[in-house]
Amino acid sequence: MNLDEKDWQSLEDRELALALKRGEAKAFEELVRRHQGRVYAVAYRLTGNREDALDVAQDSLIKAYQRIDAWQPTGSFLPWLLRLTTNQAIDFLRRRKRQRHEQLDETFIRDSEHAPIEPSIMDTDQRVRAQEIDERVRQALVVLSETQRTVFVLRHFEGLQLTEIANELGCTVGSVKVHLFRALKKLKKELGDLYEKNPGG
Amino acid sequence: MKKTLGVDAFKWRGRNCRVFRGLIAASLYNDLSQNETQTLQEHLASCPSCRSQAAALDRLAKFIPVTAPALDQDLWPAIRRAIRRAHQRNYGPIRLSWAAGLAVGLCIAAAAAVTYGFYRTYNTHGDAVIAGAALPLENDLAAVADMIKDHDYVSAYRRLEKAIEASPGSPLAAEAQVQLADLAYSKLNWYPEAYDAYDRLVRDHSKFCTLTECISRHELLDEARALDYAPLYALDAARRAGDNSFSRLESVLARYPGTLVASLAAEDMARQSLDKGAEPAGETHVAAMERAKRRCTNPVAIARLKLEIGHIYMRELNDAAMARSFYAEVANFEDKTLATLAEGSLAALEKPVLTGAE
Repeated sequence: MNLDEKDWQSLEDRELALALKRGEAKAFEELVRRHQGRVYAVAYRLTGNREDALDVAQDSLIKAYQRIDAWQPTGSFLPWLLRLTTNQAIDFLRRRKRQRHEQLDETFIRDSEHAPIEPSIMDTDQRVRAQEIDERVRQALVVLSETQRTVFVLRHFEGLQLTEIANELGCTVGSVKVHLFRALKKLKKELGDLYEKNPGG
Repeated sequence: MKKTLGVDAFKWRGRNCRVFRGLIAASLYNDLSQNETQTLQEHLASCPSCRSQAAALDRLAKFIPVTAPALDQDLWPAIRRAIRRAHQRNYGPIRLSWAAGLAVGLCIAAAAAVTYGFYRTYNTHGDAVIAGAALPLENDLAAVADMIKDHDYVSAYRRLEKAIEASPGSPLAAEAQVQLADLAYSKLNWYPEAYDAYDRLVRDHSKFCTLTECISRHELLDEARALDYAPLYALDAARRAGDNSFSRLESVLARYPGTLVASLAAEDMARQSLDKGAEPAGETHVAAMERAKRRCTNPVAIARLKLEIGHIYMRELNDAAMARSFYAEVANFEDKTLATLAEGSLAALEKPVLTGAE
């Protein structure tokens, strides 16, 4: 295929992904430019900081390129990509947790001699409050099982349809709904104190 | 299969409402068909407990912000570099692919040898097994069934565990996984293993997880996991304590207020107080709970049972006034966990009707 920039931009995700399957590297560039923001957003929500999110986003996109053969043209491309991103982020968190455990043994004695770090000074600034909420939400997401987390992130933050998610996870819409319910129920338990105090957010 | 997986305690509580949980979740995101919306609205109109749950989850869903963190750089240049590097590596040494081919060949040969040995072993046991005709895992499941008959649960578990790992994608994989999870949970009481097994079941074979037992047990184990499964071990010990069983259950109830394990203990106590042969439904259920409560001496356990009785009035007998009186008693209780739960239930009784997502 010999297309210029504009032609690539006019193609649907599906056509681009099919072109990528055929080995058209230019199609991948367009897919990256189109979806890197959403991939980054998912990575950020799960890792909680910019640097890690950039790493996870980049790794996820590279993995998408390497594994494009696993994408089935019967499904949509974006749910596949975002699910791959959540898996990548979950793996990343698991590795980070392990590393921290290993470091903990060495630093435990040293750290315990210091006074605990003062909690950051609360001010009424909206931005600080929003960051605080984001952080609490991120911590609460860790409590969910992997499937619950994937379903919740894709539905709540990314706005994918439940049928798309079901298709991507290879299960029924009914069970996706149940996963979503259970995710919400757990989050309610984790975040109840936050939002019951501040109805309407 | 149903019979072996039965957890009576879960059948008693809000069985019919479970069907609506998914619909409630989907309704928060306007992801329901017209029919489903109508079905849900009809149910919510008649069920205060689902209504309050739906309202609470709706508040939560509206609370969690969806604004996306913005990406402030283009990832493409770095990705292009990474892909180029990978290409150079892959197109480099051709000898590597020879080595890979040889390795794959050896693996296939080894697998064939193992499979052949496997069938030979089996054919010496039963002539009904025809090599090549059985599905992967089919023989294993049969052997495991025999081991279970002989109460050799550990061997059965090990055998299944290995077989599942060896046959990914078998049409019998989900059935084997259900069996494995059930063995770990109800026969061996190996809760960490049971959690992993149910978690995998819920993740990989979600169709099988419409079985409420799977989801209930997964939920139960997930909750107990935070305490290293101590509540479940305590419950087991209490159940096995013979004549002391009732008082041991009572202390489990008191030690872990507000958990699913406490509900199981409460149900067990009620069952011990039940008239022989009586069906645990509605009034009989309340009567058994009341009898259990009278036998209790621990104040936390009594409060917990009161809360359960309130739930039964609410969910099974549709008697809001009685439910309210029980909840109100517990709401004034000194144990904060229970008082909060009771306040939540009271609030749910008073909250206005939810009319779907906006």
